[in-house]
Amino acid sequence: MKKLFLMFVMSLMTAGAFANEIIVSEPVLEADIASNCCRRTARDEDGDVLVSVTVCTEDNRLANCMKAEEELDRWLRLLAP
Amino acid sequence: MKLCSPFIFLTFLFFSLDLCSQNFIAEYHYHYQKNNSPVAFSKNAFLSVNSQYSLFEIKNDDYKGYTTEKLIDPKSGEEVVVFKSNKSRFVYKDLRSKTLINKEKILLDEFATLDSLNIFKWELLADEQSTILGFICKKAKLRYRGRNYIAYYCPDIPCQNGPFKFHGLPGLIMEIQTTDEDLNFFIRIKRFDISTKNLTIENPYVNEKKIYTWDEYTDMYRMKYNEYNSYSNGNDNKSIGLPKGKIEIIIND
Repeated sequence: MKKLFLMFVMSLMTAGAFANEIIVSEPVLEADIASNCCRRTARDEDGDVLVSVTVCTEDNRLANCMKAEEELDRWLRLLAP
Repeated sequence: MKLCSPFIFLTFLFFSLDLCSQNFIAEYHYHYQKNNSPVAFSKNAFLSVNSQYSLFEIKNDDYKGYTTEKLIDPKSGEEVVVFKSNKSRFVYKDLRSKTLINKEKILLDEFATLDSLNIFKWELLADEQSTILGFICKKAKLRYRGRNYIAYYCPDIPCQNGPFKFHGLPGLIMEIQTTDEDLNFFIRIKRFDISTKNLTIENPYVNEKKIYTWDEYTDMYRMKYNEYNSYSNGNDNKSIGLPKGKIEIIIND
């Protein structure tokens, strides 16, 4: 439960890093923490994939998700006009 | 003395076919969703037409900058960040020069791009018809930039115009959709109003620094497609990729 809460807080913080306005949906689902690898994807408003990052380097899924979100954030900053 | 030679009459008839006799505004429902995507772009859109110009506008919130929205992909359970531009989209047609301008995208960059209206090779299927908003509409087929479409047009509204870039049928396009399996894309008319007043249509691209040609845009797209796809070949599990196209397929296998 603690883990889930922490992930939710982190997702808020990460989203805040590159958004003018943020609408945050549901926090991480149980199914999302089934394996240690973590994938984060950014799509444009038409639904086309802009960037997809999968991180499996850490034993801990939470750490992988943090890395994936950091990497995604970095890419989006590069791509944003 | 002859009042009008057959040549002049036919020339006048040819050019007048593309000019709508009355100003009107049509409201459409615009829907675009790739079949592997949890994100749908579904908006109301308006087509304004006068005798010289038309403007297809997909209304958006017009905030400055981008906003993000997070959602969970119900298929994979993964978190997805949706990057929204919030800008309205316009397709501006100059009916006299038979050209249009649209903002084309490469990832998040946008390019105002000039295109021709003479790019649609319709196949009319006059035997098949449907009633839309009380108008009897006829069916047509189109193969256009890598996708197949069916459309319904209304011969009783004798204006060779339609939503998005679509153009050139002998009547207003009331409905168009792709029959391709990878994409759920349709535009359907919801309302049609004839305007008795002057309808001024302004070019939304008048202050653009550069207007690209379609060929220039597709050349840039191909270059970026190859560049970004090379990022995906490493072992670091990062991928950045352009699709082969959106409504219009640019990268042909």
